[in-house]
Parts: sequence; C-alpha cells; structure tokens
Amino acid sequence: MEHKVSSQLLKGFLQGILLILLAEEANYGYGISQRLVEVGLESVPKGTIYPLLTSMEKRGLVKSESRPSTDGPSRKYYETTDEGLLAKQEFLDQWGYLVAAMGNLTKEEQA
Amino acid sequence: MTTEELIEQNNELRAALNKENEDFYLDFLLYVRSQGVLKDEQTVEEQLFAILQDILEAQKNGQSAADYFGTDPKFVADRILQQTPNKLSEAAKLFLYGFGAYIGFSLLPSLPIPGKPMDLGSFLLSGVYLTLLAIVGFFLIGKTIYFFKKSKMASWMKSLMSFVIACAVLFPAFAITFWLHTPAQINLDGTLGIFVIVLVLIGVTVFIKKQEKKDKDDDKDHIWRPILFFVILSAVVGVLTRLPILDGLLLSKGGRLILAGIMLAGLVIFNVYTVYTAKKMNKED
Repeated sequence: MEHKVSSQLLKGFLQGILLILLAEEANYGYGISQRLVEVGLESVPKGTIYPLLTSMEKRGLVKSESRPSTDGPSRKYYETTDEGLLAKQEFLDQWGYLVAAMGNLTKEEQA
Repeated sequence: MTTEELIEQNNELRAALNKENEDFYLDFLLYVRSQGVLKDEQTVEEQLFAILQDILEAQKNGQSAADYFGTDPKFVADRILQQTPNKLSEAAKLFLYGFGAYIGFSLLPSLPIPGKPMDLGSFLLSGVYLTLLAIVGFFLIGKTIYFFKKSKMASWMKSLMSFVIACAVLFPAFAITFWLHTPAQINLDGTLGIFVIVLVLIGVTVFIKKQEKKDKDDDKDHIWRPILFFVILSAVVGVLTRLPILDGLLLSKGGRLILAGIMLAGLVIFNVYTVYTAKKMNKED
C-alpha cells in the first residue's frame, strides 16, 4: 500500500536514507530509486535524488565513480565515504532518539 | 569522458527515448544548459547524461519520464545548478567563440565594395553587443521553457511577444552599425584589403571544414555549405573589386549595380540553400 509522506517531512530524512542505502552497496540514480521503492518510499519524486547526491558529494559524504554497465555506456555510481559513514551513524542515533520520544508521546496520547 | 564525448553520447542515446519522454527530457536539457552558461560544463553534462540513462531505464520498465522524475523538473534543475560550481572561463570561452564567429562570418559580407573606409569601432562594438546578446538571449530563452508551459497565454500571444522582444533587442545592433561612428576607421582598399579578405577566408574555411568533420558522424556536415558558399562569394567579390585591372569597370555606376545584384542573388541563393539543407537534414532524421 502506497503511503504519501509529506515532502517537508521527507526532506529532513532523505539524506539519511540515502546514506544508509549507499553504505549497504554503491549504486546509481535509478538503482537508488528502485531501492527507495523497495523500502516503501515510492511516492518520493525520484528527480530529487540527483541534486541531493550532488550536494552530498560536494560535502564529502559520498563519492562517485564511473563503472562499466552491461547495457550501454558506463554509469555514475555513488558510495559513502568515511565522513558519510559518520553522518549515517549520527542520523541513526538521532532517529533512535526521535523514535523513543515519539513512542513516549503516543503512549501518553493513548493513555 | 570529455565534455564533447558526453554531448555526443547524449545525442545518440536520446534517440532511444519515446516521443513523450524525449519532449520531457529535451525541455530539461535545454533549461539546464541555458541556465548553466556560467557553470562547469563537464559537471553539467555528466549530470544530464546520468539522468538520461536513468530515464531510459525507467522507460524500459514501463515508466514515463514524468512519473519517474516528478512533476517539477524545473525545481530539480535549479537545485542541481545551485550545487554546480561556477566556471567563468567557460563564459569567456563562449564569448570568444561567438565573437570570433561574428568576425569570421560578418567581416567578408561587409567588405565587397571598396572606396569607403570601414568603421572598425562600430563593427567590433556591434560584434560585442551581438555576442553578449546571443549568450544572454540563450539564458533568457531557457527561462521561458517552463514559464510558457505554465502560462495560460495563447500560443499566438507567446509568438507575438517573442517577436517583439527579438526586434527590440536586435535593434541596437543595427543602430550601432548604421548610426554609430567611431574614429577607428580603417581603409581596406587595394592590396591590404585583398590580404585581409584572403586571410579571413582561409580562417573561416578552416573553421568550417573542422566543424564539417565533427558533424560528419551525425550527417549534419552539410549545414555549413550554404554559409561557406556565401562567405566565398563575398570574398570573391571583395577581391575582384580591389583588383586594379577591374577597378574602373566594377566601381562604375553600372558595375556597382551589377555587384549589388550579384550580392542580392547570392543572399537569395544562400537562403534557399539553407532551407533546402535544413529540409534535407530533417528528412534524414
């Protein structure tokens, strides 16, 4: 079932999500978009991935390289750098903190 | 890949897009290239190529470019360009290329009739203005790609607006050429004139031959032929009118009329040849 997540909300998380996906394995634009669909984020406009990847590369969180492709010209693959792995951990820590806080809040709401 | 290789590969790969996706991608490509005039061209072309490859893969999987990319490609393009470093040397290169082309292609047609000194100052100023106009114009035309799509203006109104704007911005170039007089006057009669004409003709011919070689793979090399024809005609008339043997004949009242007739006929042939070449290239596409 497709869930539409507010784009404003998603904006804050997308970088963290990309860091997690690229830490698993290096990937290119369309490959990343397919992974987003697999994890349930089909409503994310995939065009937004590109400027985000460019920004992340500029800030040293990911690096890109050209890799041969089986069906055509080489493709631009992205993978996390050491700084990216640190940023990913920071994101996961903050996520854990938020999940715990939201969990407490929703318990209070239900009580 | 070099920038030229990226552009060539982009042209080739685009042919695999269906009509709907090609329209979507072309708007995006033109917008990014026109707004990225001051940006690092290599980075811009790498991004465009990567996106094209992904849109093609989405197409193979039954997804349209709009469905894959989202409904606001302008937003994505603006964000990509924001992240792309500026490279002023690209703008300088573009300016020099455009200015060189102006001199190459405008100098010879403005030299056929000797006897009147050439106002080098107004010629060069006009060239600077037109070159800057071409670059700024390219940038502004890019801006209209998504503006006109969103605008509810009638199609005829958009065309009229474009025509009026084009006339307004081109007028200063004519004004400079016809009404601005500078002290930088140069007499290109006689041997000096012949020397300059031959030099410019060689330069322009070498440039066109290089471009033809580059465009041969796309079968677009014959686009240069009408231009080469007109340049050679202007050069031949310019040299003939400066030869002492023909001086008296060609510069008499009747001779000038004949020369004007030849140049006018040359212009008509150039236009017909251009239209014919363009139609032939469209058919081949």
